[in-house]
Amino acid sequence: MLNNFLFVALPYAALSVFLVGTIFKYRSLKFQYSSLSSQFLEGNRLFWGVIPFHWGILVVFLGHLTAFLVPRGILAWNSRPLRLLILEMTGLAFALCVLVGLVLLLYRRLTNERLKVVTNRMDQVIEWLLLVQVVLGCWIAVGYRWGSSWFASDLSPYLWSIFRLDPQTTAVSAMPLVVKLHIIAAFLIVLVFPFTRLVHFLVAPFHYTWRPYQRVIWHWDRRTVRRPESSWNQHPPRNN
Amino acid sequence: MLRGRTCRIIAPLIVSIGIFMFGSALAQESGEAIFNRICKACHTVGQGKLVGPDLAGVSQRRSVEWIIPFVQSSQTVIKSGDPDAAAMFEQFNKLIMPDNPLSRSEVMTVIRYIEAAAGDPAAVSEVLPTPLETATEADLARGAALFQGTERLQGGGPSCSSCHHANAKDIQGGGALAVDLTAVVSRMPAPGVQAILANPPFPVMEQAYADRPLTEDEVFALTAFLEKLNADQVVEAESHHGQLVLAGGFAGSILLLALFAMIWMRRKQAMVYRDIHRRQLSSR
Repeated sequence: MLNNFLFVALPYAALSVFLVGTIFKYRSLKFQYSSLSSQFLEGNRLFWGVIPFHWGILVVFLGHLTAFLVPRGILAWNSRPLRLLILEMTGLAFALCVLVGLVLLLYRRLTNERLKVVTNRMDQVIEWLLLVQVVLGCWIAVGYRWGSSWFASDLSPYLWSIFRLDPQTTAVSAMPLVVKLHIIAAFLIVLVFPFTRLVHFLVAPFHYTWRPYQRVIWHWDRRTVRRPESSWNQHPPRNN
Repeated sequence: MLRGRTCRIIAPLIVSIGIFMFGSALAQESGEAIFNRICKACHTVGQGKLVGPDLAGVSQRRSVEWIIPFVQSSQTVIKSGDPDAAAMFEQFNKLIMPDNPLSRSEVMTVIRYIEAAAGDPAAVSEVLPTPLETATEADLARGAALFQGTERLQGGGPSCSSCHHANAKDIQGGGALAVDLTAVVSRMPAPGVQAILANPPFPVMEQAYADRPLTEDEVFALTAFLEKLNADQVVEAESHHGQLVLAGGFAGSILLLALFAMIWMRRKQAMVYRDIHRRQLSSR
């Protein structure tokens, strides 16, 4: 019964809330969110959080997506021991990048005074959820190898069975606890998704990849700024 | 506002629970079909012990009231302190019989099928032969290749090493999701291994080979390979591939961090004020 709740009811509840929630938010409240960027102010500190986290999670997410969409391709790739090893090591390397980045970002979110002011409850919820999820994922990669192969043969059919509205839970119910927790946490993330800043994932700024550089120029009086005898009293526009 | 939000969360929940309840209506299968699907991998009727005991005459040895809960969840019965169940668990190498989601009436259908089959002399044969007796060197090599995955299974299923390890020189780092198979033949007779491969009773394995079963000759080669390991008295040895993946992952992540540092070397490292402020101080 518990398994049915966790692996049938929870996924459908999560996916329904995700679908309805995001559409509703996009249509009515799309300007409610902002990343409130502070990159100009703390470029160096943010860098080691933001860059490893985003590139890491992008690759890890696409890896899971590939195993879900083309499980046979993953199994074919894994048929050579060396290729399997390369795939698993690459996956773990990016996952550890996510872990490093997320720990730094979470630390920053909890300690930075300026950030505390703009942090809401859902920001905390989603970051802790993601942290739990990444730790579980790394644990699985090391302790329950070879995840890429058995994901393709067991979890991919389970996920497809959910989308076919014919959920098959016997295999997931028999998985080790860590794997079950990883699946449950994944659906919890999907569930809270529309209520967090994570919605920015759906409107990923892909056009940034080929957008030309932007030059940011402050609109101030350079002569005043550079006069050595004057004390510092000029401020750039406070619009970011 | 709060009521509206609660409603938005609860409505999909109700819809999904509804879908789930209507979706689980199952049609009744025949006793033979259930036996072949679930029991056959580990039990025979009159052909001797396989993974579990021979089920011929089971309804004379035990009461139906004992059999039904045991079939549904053997571990629950064993843990409840039933002495017969505990003794049998010991006798059969502590191999856990998976829980079976069968109703009382479905178990009864299976018991009636077993009673009928046990009375049929055509169904009872002599001791089953084991693959190693007739396997050639080529079969053993093929078994190792199939186990590792270097030769793909014809049905397209995952190789054994996706989840299992075996301590053999041809096997490089088998998986750690399921048990080590090095000494599997010492735990159950070879026909038991064959039966499991042909018709996996464990849910995770059943799903993995659901619509891509192993062929008869693949089962033969794999069983012969595992029997050979047991005959050579190879002992289980943990694979170092877990540590290898961890080490590779660490090295890879450090490499990636270095790569990020290089790609964004010319990034703005501090706030714009700093340079201006320094210039101001130095020219004072």
